[in-house]
Amino acid sequence: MITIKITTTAEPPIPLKAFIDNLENNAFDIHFNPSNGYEHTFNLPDGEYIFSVSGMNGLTEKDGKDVLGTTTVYLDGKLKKGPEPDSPIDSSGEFFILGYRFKV
Amino acid sequence: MKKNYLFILLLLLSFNSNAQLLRDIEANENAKSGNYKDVLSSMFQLASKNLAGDNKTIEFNSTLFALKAKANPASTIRYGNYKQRFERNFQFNFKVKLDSVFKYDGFNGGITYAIVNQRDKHLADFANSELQVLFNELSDEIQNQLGGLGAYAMTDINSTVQKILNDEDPANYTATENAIKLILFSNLDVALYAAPKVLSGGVAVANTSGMVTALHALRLQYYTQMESKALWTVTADGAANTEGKFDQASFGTVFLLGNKEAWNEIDVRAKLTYADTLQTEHLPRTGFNAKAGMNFKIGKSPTQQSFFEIKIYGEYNSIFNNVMINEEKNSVFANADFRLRIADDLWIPLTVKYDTENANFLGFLNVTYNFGN
Repeated sequence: MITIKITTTAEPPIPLKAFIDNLENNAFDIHFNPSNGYEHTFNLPDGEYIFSVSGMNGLTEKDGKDVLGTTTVYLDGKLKKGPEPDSPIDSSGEFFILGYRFKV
Repeated sequence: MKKNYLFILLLLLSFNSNAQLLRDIEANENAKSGNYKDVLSSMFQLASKNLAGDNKTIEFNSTLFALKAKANPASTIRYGNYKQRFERNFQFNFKVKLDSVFKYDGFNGGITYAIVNQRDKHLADFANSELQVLFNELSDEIQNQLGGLGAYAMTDINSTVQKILNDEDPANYTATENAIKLILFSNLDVALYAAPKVLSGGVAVANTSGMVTALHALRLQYYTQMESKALWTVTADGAANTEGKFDQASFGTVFLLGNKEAWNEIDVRAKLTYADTLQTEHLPRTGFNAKAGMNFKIGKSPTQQSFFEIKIYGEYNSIFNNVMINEEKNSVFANADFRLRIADDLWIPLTVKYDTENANFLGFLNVTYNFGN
């Protein structure tokens, strides 16, 4: 079981796209469009996966200036291999793809 | 008249203390027309209107978002703009009314809501656009390719992909990132760009690098085009006299729509007003005011801040009931607003009205200051 959480600090101009890619069996692949503040738990069959999120960061205000927002992705769960707990990855670029490789 | 000059001077002196704040404001925020900011302020606006006339006002306009951002800046960063669409489109205002000798003459309060606000870049929506289609095509293929990069650490893959997508200088890549980039570009070029892809503007894209450049150009183009999109607001306000007694209410609407280059914009306004003139004990009456015209920005480029604006428009007034002896039931004016920018966010607008019936010229001097944006 894994938990995925995605936050953005600015409204993305286009919808985010997420992909859970089972590297051994395409039948277990999952595509979805997460919203801001997305948090969901998945029960995945054993195997090795890559989870990735793609999108555009929108503009927000900081200290009186327009700045690019930041998208942060968290992945946690009982993993045989993968990210350490509480190790989010983020991007403040105009366009981004953020990925995790893990094994359940 | 001396009092008028003194008042303007005091306003200007108080604005100079915010010079640092003005320097921090981004160019694209300043590219918005003064005419637009008079309809919907980005953060805070202080204005003094009709300085040389009998009925002067000092106004403060702001949005719910601006108050929230000032009270708790972290809240706007943490939660983003998803929950801020309403706050950004909801403006409130307070006015203090002064008579010809700057004596308190009552107050006014109101709210404005932007039903259509396509110019706020923080609320940009490029869904279903060519930009989304092209980016999704590229990002889907990159996401498909990630599984084949098992020889590399995910941190290196992530950093490489960010650099590719954000068109970073080749000198900024590490040796590992260069190796990953080479594999990705090779696979993507075969999968997506075996034949050149022709974009809607006629540009042919031959490879992944060209597509990344095209995506950034499209992004910039879309944000620039937002400068001239539609804004439609509705406003309701009420006023009270010096005794705090309610004596006026109005309901109005404003519609702005720029041309493609954002040099000028159509400006249409209408307002229905109920007022008690208090000339006698009780003399309620209802009036209608409509204005339509065009605002022109004058500056180096429509995407940079203008230094001068001219709005030319016609105005129609009608009083439905209780018309007084020295008044016209219907009147038509030919007007011009001259708006001179004397600092990044400090405007001096001068309205000149020409009464077409009586061939009279009238003038109204205002000062407008937008800050905190």
